[in-house]
Amino acid sequence: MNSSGSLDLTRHWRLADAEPAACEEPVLQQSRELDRFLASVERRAYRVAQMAVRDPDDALDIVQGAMLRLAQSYGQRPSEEWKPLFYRILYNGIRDAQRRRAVRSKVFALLPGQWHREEEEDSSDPYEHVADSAPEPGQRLMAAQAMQALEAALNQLPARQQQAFTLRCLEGLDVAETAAAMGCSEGSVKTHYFRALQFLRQQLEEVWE
Amino acid sequence: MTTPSSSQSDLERRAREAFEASVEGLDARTRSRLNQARQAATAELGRSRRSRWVVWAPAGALAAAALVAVLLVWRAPGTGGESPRSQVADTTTPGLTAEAAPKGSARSGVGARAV
Repeated sequence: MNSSGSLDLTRHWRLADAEPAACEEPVLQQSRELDRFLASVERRAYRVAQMAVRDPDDALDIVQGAMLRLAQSYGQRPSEEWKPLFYRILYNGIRDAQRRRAVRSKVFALLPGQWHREEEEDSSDPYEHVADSAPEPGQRLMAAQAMQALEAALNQLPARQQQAFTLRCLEGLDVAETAAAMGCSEGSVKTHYFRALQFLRQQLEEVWE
Repeated sequence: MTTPSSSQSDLERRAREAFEASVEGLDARTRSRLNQARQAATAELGRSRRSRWVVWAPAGALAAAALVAVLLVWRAPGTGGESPRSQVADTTTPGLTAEAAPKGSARSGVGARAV
């Protein structure tokens, strides 16, 4: 082959080398977008899970599972679909954890003696003693008390009403997104939300006055 | 359904504020663990995409090769639009046709002549 032929071949090799990089670009972009999305919801999702299961470690496991599941199964979907999908996965995880806990408590109730769960605190964690950039203690106390009252009232609600209130009010999802996350119609969401509001108003009016 | 009253919207606002405050008040350890979980999930996205490509690329190539092979086998004997049997019949001499023809067809030929 002549010199021009060899040049063409070299160009072809160069293109073949560049191809994986071109393929990687959308993946990187999608990863960055997913990272941004997860960063925007992770803390709130954790608090929602913690309110539902009342255990910080279980809540972390649930959020981690939801993040992984979203990335594995729905990472290729358009980013607008992620929010309802993520909350749907999260609530499935919460429900599973609650079921597991119910079974566990039934089994432990049959066993003789008392079972105490030993907390496996990792005291070597360097972040544990880092100072938080939280507000003043007085403000923090008031907010904590308000949240405690809200949690107590929320836990008295039926699961669907609790879900509707959390997604609509606390997470800021609109009716359509909430319906997608809950797997029901928009009319059901409105009904659940309205009932939840009525109940919470009765419960919290005196406490929050 | 009635429209939300001012106390309801106040309730929503206060609930949201309390929730936001509790989210902001998360300790550093929890934030760190959430961050790690997020990194793992983001890494998983790239991995699952790559592994899917690794699985489907050879399967697709194999399917394409099989399709090409089937097409080649199917098309190869019929090049020119005629079957090989008709080509063989064309090369036979007229005298051999009666012997080479099946019995039934020869008999029908005789019957036709008698009529």
